[in-house]
Amino acid sequence: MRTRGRDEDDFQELIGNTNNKMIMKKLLISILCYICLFCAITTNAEQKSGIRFRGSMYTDLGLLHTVHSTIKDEVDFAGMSVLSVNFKNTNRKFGKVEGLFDVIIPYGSMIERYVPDIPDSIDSDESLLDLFKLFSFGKAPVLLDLRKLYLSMYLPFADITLGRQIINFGKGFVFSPIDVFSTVELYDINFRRRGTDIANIRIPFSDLAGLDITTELPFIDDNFSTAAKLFATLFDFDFSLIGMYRNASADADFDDEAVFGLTFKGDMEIGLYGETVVHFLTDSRDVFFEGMLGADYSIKDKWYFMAEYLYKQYDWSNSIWGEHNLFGSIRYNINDLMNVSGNVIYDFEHESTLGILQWYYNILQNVNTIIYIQGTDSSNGQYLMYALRAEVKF
Amino acid sequence: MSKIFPLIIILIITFMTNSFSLTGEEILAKMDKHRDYKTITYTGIMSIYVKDKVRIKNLKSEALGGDETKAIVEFTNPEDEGTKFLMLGKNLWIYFPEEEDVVKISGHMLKEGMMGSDVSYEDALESDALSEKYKITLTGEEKFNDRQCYVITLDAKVKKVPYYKRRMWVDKETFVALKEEMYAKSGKLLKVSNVLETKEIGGRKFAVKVEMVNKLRKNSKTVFEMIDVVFDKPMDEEKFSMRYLRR
Repeated sequence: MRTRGRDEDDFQELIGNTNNKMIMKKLLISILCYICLFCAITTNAEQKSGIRFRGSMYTDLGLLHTVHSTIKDEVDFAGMSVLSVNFKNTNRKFGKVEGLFDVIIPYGSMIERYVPDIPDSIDSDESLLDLFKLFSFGKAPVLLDLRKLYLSMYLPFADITLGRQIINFGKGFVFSPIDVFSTVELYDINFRRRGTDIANIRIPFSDLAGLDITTELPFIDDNFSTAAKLFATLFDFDFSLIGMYRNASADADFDDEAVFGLTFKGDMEIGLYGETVVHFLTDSRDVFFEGMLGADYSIKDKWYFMAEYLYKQYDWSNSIWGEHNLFGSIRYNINDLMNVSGNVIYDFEHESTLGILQWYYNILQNVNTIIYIQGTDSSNGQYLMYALRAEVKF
Repeated sequence: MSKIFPLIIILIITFMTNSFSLTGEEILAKMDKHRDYKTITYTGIMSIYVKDKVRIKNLKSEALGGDETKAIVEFTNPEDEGTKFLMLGKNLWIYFPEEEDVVKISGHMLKEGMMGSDVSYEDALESDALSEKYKITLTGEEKFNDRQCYVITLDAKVKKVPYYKRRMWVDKETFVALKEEMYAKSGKLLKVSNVLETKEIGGRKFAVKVEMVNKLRKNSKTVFEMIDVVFDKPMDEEKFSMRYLRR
């Protein structure tokens, strides 16, 4: 493990107090909100434009089936309502302000599914930047997930973006070993990504080439990653070369490391994409490799296939993925408004599976219905969620 | 009368000679003349019909003509708002605003319907240089929608084409292709497009409302309407870049 300097220890001790952490986090969020609002107001005043709101709301109602090997299975009511609101300024010639947040009300067994993931947010605001409890109705918490809140300034030579953003650093849909910034939410039926607090500078070299410099904004601890990505399109393939440094705090579940990667996406009759990543651990001087290869294909505008394979040479004890991992996806379009699909993720080392079957119907212009069965089989148990989702976009 | 009659005959013969002297390539060249532009901007309405249901998608588009077409399309209807397409020559990228993700559309994905419509990404990407990819033959003349039309047949002379054979009904007066049939290598009819409305814009006849029927889909068609079409307006070329796509 890494050693720390005396000053750093003193600093940690000074702000180690939970109350101080809470105050600092709230202060930072408040500052970000004020900056965003200020930019939005000044932009509106000058350009006679405003903020555009859009969003969606969905409600999942279903049953959570817990499979037990020795005792009788349990079937409980589970569901949630999620209001997702997105706003951005309409005149984005010189800059952009954007926010995206979810207000989540879990029902039944879904409360237990959310609450263990946010143990401190309920009482101590520890997970303020992930899910934040707004208030409670009885036992049901009303949670806030702040997915995006950032401002961008478009300077002649570069675009600078600060705040909570969703960064797609790699090419993988589910497996993306190079993407340490915005992780995929595996239990989200649309595999959405989480927002991260980031400062980003994008310097264009040409229409299709440039340099991205991205760094996580460290809050209380010094657990952050900084990366530079050089990207270009060559021979109809998108390529990027990435160099990254990951700085680990004392209680981090990873060591300091330098990471180098290459990503590509292009066309060889089938759509082909991949990532290769080499990790250099700075303390132990260990070197290990990760690789991802993905492909997509469609037949007659009806069938759509996607597959990804992830190889991890070094098995971190805290890693959610094993040495060999597979993701497969099939979708059949019944017509333009209706489809059925199935996704499965399998980790060979941990022998764990996550699968989902869904039927999607765009019942009206902005109204969707989804019936899905999501199943998990891992060392934590076997669960099946049978649910109906009704969604309205606005 | 005796003096006028030979004159009429001469005029008819001259007209007929001129009409039939046009080759397929020449007809295509005249069509291109009407379709050529330095820049084009428009607001589009894409109506996707499935059985008795219709889904409306609104969009804004800006494009640069020339040797390599550059275009940027942004959807504005609430369900897809902020979704953008960047087309640079034969390359296409989609920007998904919620995930801040740019995805390159490649391979067989190009054959998929654009935003669920009957128009494929490949159709949208196709440049107008048909003469480089097809052997063009004038195969006859027919009346279509009360308009006299040339019928031209295009047979693929290169392998990488979305359709191996195409037939076009080209208005003899305006040189707008009023109807087009697109066939697979096997001879199967894949798609039919019909021009529903043309307008005179900037001194040229331009198809502003087109219906596309994908014969592989049942009870489905897409009507694409262009409004507020402006040609040759000065445009910032920097818009057609990865940088602007993410904005």
